[in-house]
Amino acid sequence: MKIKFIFILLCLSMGFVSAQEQRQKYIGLETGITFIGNEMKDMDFIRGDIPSYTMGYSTNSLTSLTYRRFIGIKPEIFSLNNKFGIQAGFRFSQIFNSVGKSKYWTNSSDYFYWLYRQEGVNTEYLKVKEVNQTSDYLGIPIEIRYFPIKLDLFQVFIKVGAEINFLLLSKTDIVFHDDAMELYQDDMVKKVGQPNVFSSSIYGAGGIRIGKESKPSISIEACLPYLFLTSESSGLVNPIAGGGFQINLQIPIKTKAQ
Amino acid sequence: MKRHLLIFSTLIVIIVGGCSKENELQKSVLLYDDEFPDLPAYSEWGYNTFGVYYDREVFISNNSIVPAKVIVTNNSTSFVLDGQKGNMNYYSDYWNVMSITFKMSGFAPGQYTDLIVLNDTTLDLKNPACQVLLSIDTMVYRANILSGGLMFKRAQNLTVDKNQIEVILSGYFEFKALINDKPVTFSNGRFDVGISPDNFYNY
Repeated sequence: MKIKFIFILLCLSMGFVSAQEQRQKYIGLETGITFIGNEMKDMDFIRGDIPSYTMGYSTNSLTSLTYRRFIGIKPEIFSLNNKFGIQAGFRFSQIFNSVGKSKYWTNSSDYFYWLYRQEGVNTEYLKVKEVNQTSDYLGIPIEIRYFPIKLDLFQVFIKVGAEINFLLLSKTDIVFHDDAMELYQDDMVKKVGQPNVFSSSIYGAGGIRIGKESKPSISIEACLPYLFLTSESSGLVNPIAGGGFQINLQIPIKTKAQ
Repeated sequence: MKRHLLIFSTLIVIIVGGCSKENELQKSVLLYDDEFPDLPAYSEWGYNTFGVYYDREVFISNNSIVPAKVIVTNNSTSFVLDGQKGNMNYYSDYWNVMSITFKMSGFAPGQYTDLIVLNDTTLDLKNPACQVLLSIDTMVYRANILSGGLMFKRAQNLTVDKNQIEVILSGYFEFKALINDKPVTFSNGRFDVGISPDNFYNY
């Protein structure tokens, strides 16, 4: 396996290092969205509310949602045979996590109980509709595209990539059933975990690139799977894997030789 | 200014909503025990469940019957657990209605919030001030207690969004008794119930 990997790297590097003046180069602007399956953390301050039957449907249990949207700038340089492209750049991404009450039937409430405080014999619950956590990251993606099918105006590609993200900012917001309880937001947010400073992931994708060589182009791709290498990195839930879409607009960079 | 408005509105909620009802809190949330899978796990969240082994059978709360009532009358308090004899499952189309009443003489709380004094209290059921009554279907039996106790491990005054809602009583019980002159054992009993004006009676 290792030997195959090294061989592929060698082939790629041979394509990139020789005859530099003939390589195609592009600068691209990308944007996309990824929907991510997650695992809810055990939050012992939330009153459990699961079906009363071992095999029953959940009428009012908690559900969670995670998605990620991003925008970035990525130059791409092609191999001599124009079959391979290497992209690397900067990506600003935002991961949105939400935990709330599912409502399969209308007689279910849209809130859950949060254990706010216990002092002696006094216990306080607050009714919460949902908890949202938004985390902003600055990342470095590195991607390799392979073009097995190249037509004049239309190319098909597959892609593998990896990215490392650095947390810029994370904000947790609690939506209360009673707005007057906003007073307690800060205390409650402290109970929700914060994401780690670094996170990383690997992903695969496939798509099409529309546009002639050395001309502006647009790439549309489906990203699947997107795998978190640092699942424990998110504060509210543990993101695991997902899939999504990406659009990449590219314009060629002209060199003096060209 | 916004902060002042929030404080003011919170105070209004506290004053006006002194005794609001919480429909969700009155429902039962049954989380089974890993060790005793026929019984609810012990909890202190006010899940409105209880369960106990009645020899080899199970006496457990269900969704149809109010699981607990506190009845104060004639200077005595009855803590009543109502449920069914036999496991809860989809295949049983009939179950026996069953209840256990723990009657405590000389204890008469005026209102449900007074139940908080039961926090960390253990009652010796062999004490003459305590009586245990069993009801299975239409038959009522007085248990002749051989040994056992009822422990209110925790009583909690529960407020939700700053409104007083209920008192949560959580604890354990087990006893051996003669019922109809036959010895029976109630073991690994646990309860976690909310007592509010709806299931507290004083007359």
